Amino acid sequence: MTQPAVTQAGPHARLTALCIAAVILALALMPYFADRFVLRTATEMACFLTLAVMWNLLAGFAGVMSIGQQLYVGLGGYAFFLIAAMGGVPLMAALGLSGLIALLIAVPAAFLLFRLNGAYFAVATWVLAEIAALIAAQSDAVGAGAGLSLPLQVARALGNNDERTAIFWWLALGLAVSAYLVAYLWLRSGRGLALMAMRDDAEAAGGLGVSTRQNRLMVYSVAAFFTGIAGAIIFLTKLRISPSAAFSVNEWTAAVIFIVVIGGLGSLEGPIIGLAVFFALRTLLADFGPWYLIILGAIAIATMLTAPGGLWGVLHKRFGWDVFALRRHVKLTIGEKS
Amino acid sequence: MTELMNIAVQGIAIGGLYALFAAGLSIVFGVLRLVNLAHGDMIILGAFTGYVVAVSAGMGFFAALVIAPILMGFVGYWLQRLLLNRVIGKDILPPLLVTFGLSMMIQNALLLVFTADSRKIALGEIEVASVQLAPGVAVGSYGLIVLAVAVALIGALHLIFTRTAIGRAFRATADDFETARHMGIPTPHVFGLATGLALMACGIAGVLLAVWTSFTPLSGTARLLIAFEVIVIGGIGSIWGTLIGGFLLGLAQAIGGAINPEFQMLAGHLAFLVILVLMPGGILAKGARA
Amino acid sequence: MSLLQVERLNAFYGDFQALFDVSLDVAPGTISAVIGPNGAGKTTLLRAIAGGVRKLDGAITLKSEPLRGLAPEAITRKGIGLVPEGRRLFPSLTVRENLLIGGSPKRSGPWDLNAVHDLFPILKERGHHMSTELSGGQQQMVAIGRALMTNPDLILCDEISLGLAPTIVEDIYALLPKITDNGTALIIVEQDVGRALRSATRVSCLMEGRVVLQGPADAYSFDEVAAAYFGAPAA
Ligand SMILES: Nc1ncnc2c1ncn2[C@@H]1O[C@H](COP(=O)(O)OP(=O)(O)O)[C@@H](O)[C@H]1O
Ligand SMILES: [Mg+2]
Repeated sequence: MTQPAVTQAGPHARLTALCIAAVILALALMPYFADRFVLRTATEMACFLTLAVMWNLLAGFAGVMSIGQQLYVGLGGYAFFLIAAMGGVPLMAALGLSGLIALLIAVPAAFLLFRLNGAYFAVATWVLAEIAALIAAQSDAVGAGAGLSLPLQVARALGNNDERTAIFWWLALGLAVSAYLVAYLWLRSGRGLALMAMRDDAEAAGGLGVSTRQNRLMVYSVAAFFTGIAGAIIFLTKLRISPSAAFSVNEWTAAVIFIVVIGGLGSLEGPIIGLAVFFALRTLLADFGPWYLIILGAIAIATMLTAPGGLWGVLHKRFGWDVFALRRHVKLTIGEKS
Repeated sequence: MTELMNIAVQGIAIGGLYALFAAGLSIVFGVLRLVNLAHGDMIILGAFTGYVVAVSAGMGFFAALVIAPILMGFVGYWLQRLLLNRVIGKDILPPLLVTFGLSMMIQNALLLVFTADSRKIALGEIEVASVQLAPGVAVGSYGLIVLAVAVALIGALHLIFTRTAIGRAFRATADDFETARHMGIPTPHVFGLATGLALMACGIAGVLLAVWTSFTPLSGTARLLIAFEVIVIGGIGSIWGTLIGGFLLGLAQAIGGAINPEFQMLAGHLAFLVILVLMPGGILAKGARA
Repeated sequence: MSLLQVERLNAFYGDFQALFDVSLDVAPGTISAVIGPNGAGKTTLLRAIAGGVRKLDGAITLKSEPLRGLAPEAITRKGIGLVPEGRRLFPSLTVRENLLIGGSPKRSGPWDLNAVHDLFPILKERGHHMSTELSGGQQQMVAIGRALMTNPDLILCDEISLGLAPTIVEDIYALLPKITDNGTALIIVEQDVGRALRSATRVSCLMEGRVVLQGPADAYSFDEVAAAYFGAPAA
């Protein structure tokens, strides 16, 4: 099943890969020429991109609609702060551990959640996030409602303000690139095929011998892992965490859904476009208060109605663009199967 | 003992309100198989509509209790016909995303008009009056009114669903949408009526909530979650189940709140989880099981 | 003077074409049979007439009024009733309620609850049972009665004998003339070629989405039809 995937990488695969590598390299060198404000924004964007890629993997590819991913953002953030407070754990290890803790919570949570179908699953994910927020707000160990600040020595150990900003950026960039890599490799593997079959028709996929449950569980866990690390980095850059910020549905899920829907649900390219639109709108509408979210909601609804494939879907249809060469490969393989 | 009784009475009284929160969500899911993520915000929209009628226009609570549901019902019908009918279908994602976007829009539109200030409809003496049930056991009279409205509304919905032509059309459409169309049922209109009815229930729930406690444009989220938990606890798709679910959730919260006021919400959520774990087949109806 | 005219109908499911240039003519008060092996497109043809197939090409007219493109509920209101394949009764409705659902378009005509009860007395007796509690034959009667309740000019019956005992099928077929007596026409999809030829005045045989044989039922022998059915010339 996986062989055709390799041969079907598309005529410009090598060129595309080179371009992507060049872009990543340029991004990695940003601390040497960009100012602090640009770096901070870029860091935030990279974190959102990670969240978006993971949410897209869930909703756009695996057909799992979660509106409770803020649970893992918050868990990752809190886990990181607690590990950091113990002192002595290297930064990278602490981040990895935060992701692992999110993953460890995700597995039992999934067993609970997957008892519910579709929309009920979605709301139940949200309930879990609310529970976590309530528990955090009532636990003195994590500062209750006031939350935690990153211990000063941890922040200091990362160097001066400029050095810290650069490190945060590299972390966020590294995470986003890894998230993309994992999503890409997964979708091009046999499992990816199964995933997309699952999205299109869970019953048929079940008939193909694809264990929907197992696949969903796996995607859900991977998403929790990356989302958890993203949460850790997000709150590391903010230097403090509180329950309302950590488990915010608007910040970590509504915005992410917007990014994915506008960019293109079920495409790897979509989140990047959605990210650009989101940040552009956020900057443009910053002074308009509630209008900002009203407009965001209206755009998301209009997109769902007129272009369910998002902006990338429109571009793909119009110009046949296909950076990651996923579609062609998948269509072909499914065609061969039947 | 009397303390326990008081907790139970309190739980049941607020359970009536919770059943009202859930009624609309249950109707929309029952007929359209759609989970409306803007449901909580629609309850709050009902509360603000009631507030405008009762306080801003000075027409009082009872006028609000009549006018707000009618306006909401109208909004619901056209919302369904003009927007939601275009996204319902096999794929659950579009309706969820659209109602999620709607939720954002309603919340922020309310913020724009009413600011983030919290508001409340004052009812005067009824609010503080209470009825003695037994020595040491008392229930607020307003709680009793809410409970009575809840039972009446759910009874009325039950009759509509089982005894009327439109109720028959609701059930047929829910059973088999395509076949219903082939029997000449105008499904877009039927869906409009179902959502209209659901938003009428939201209007009633909202006005009653507005007296019960103060609210802001952002109060909807908590109500959506409560409504959702109520219908999962009470059995998805069952109208009377919303009443039972409301009571159970109300009781759980009352018990949690008695232990520590901070535990009230948490206890409700935990009760929901426990039921999800222990009684996936029992209290849950088949409809939502994976 | 035909009631229903289908001209060069092509039907698609996505990229897959299920019907190719199918034409059909139905006169009032007659029974037309559509036969063909599984997957030939019989159900697709009926669903296309009833408005249940979205991608269509060609013309469908009822009493010279175009139907193609109308919503299924609008087509029912114009006078086409459907007895769907597999009956598709509403499981959460009682027998009586299932019948009443058919009455929702409020077309005038001879059929109401009493008339259906006269035709199928057992349905009156079992009116308050859930439709799922009935035997297959009784369920089929509900499905037919439900379509009758819409007071149609034409009823599309998709495999009404499917899964029923032969004697029950005979009973149901014996009642069909009582329906056509009122001027209502029937299109019946039937697997049993012999029964189709006996009951119908006209017959159409579909193969892989194409009409391979069409004409008066008495113009063809069983063997001729069977040959078409199994892909002529018969081996
Ligand atoms: N909903 C559908 N989607 C895609 N293909 C379909 C669908 N329904 C039927 N088909 C295909 O159309 C062809 C005709 O089917 P159908 O009309 O059900 O045949 P019949 O009723 O004669 O057995 C078959 O090849 C079938 O697989
Ligand atoms: Mg068929």
